[in-house]
Amino acid sequence: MGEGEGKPGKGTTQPEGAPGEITVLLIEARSGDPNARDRLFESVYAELKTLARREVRRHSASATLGATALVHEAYLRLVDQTRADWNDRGHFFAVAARAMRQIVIDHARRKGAAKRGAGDRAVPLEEGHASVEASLDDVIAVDEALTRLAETSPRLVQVVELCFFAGLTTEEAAEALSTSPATVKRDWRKAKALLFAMIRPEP
Amino acid sequence: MYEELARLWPAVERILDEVLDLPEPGRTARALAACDGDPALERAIRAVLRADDESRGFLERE
Repeated sequence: MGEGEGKPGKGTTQPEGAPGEITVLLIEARSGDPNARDRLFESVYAELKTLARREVRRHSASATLGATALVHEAYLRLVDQTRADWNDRGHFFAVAARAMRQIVIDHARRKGAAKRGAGDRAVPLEEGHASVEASLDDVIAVDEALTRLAETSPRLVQVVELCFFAGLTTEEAAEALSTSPATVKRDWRKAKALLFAMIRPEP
Repeated sequence: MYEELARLWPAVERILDEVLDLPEPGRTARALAACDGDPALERAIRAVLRADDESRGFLERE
């Protein structure tokens, strides 16, 4: 022993899931293999979490999570672009958006627990047309409302994950959902109205 | 209100897809006309259009 941590194939600069592995999982998930889908999510989640931790360390005062930048960086690091096609890019974004939601919520809950009683501390999520400067309570409320929304329209939930939690542009979200930007815009508006109706009920 | 919206969502969404991009007052008028006099659907439509107006800045950066 003495050198390394006994994790084969994991060099100091190598991300959690090597490009080849994620690309293969993307291609297998495309063909509908549920096992590949689960492993893909786990690998993307682990990589995004590593990148997010590094971000948080770098800006420890503000604890900024630049969701858009993280998702794009993860894509460049994880996906072998000579082997993956355009659909795989969209699919990767969809998986990464779901993982980002999980990470953002875990982050908000941890900060919420740490800061409880200290008022409503902001969690800045940067970039993207739809991203947020949302309070901890807002982010957690959105997550809970999304869980309810999933029973009514899983598609609208995906749009929110892509536009809000991953901070993707309308065009990128459209690519991930294999639909048009106009449809994403309309779905985003419908999703916001429904979430708003849940979170800010009329008096 | 959300419960009612969720219950009627397929019909509500169909109407929204037709009217969402229209300017007022035509938007509400056309949406209500599409309810065929169903009072529950009319209530849901009024609620979702109001939520759409009020949620413009919600979850948006600017």
